Amino acid sequence: MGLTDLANPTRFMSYSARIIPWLWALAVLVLGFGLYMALVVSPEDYQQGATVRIMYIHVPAAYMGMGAYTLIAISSIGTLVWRHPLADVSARAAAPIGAAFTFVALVTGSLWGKPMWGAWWVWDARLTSVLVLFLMYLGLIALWRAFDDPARGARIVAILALVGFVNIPIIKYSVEWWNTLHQPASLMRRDGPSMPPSMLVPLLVMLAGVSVLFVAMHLSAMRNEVLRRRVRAMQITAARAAATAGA
Amino acid sequence: MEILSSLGDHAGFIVAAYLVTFVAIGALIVWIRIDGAAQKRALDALQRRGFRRRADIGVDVDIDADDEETAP
Repeated sequence: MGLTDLANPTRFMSYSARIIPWLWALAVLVLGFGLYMALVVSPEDYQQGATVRIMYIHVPAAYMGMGAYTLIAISSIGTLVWRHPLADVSARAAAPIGAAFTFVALVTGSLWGKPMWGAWWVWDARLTSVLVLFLMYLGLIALWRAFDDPARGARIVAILALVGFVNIPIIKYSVEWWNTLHQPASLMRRDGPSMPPSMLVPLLVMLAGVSVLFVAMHLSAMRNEVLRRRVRAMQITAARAAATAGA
Repeated sequence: MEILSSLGDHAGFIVAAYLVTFVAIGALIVWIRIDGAAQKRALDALQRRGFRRRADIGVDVDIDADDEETAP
């Protein structure tokens, strides 16, 4: 089975139906283990104390927020270059999930920032660029909903999504390019992660669990979108049949 | 309770962060399941009225094609 096989909507529906229950189960197992490690096994930080435990949900949420937008950008290329309907389905399914994870990253970041920085929010480059990402998600979702025919909206939304992708490297490098209150990268660094294994391992387990959860949610949302389009197409056929019968 | 007491002075912030995460992601999962069930119901209702996708009668088609269905 290759990617081209999966790119067929009917085959995608067949394969995804088989794989999704396993993904949900795997996500529950890995996240359960990850939460146990994050809340029970991992040590407190020598400066932040127990507050560091927010990191185990904040960092994976932020990664998924950026990852989902990257997926939307890749899918948008599929929409614009190959005009494949599953590419638009993928992008559209990823948007609310990415928005939710970005929202979680913003709120958990704020709840982490208040006791550590003494402020719920500061307009520094990292926080502001993540807020822009959240607004981009809302904009994409609103634009998709503005079109009755998903095929007509797909190309316009794909162009906007690709333009907005410029924000992803800005988020990533904002802590290096500007002087921010947000701490520099501690996981994805050229010289390796800057945290001890006792914290790194729970974080990586949580990242793996949230990634599997994201895939399960994304595939499920894609199936919903495929079904929605089939329903819409059938409703159009039904309306045409009714109009023909009435004429 | 043991976990809560070990969270120290900032327990409220930590619990709130995990609570917001569970509620937001949990709500999204519930919405995805409800949406999926609604789409299946709508598709079943149309199929009961006799409408069929061309794929179901042996022709593999694009999901966006308006002409992919057959009227009864």
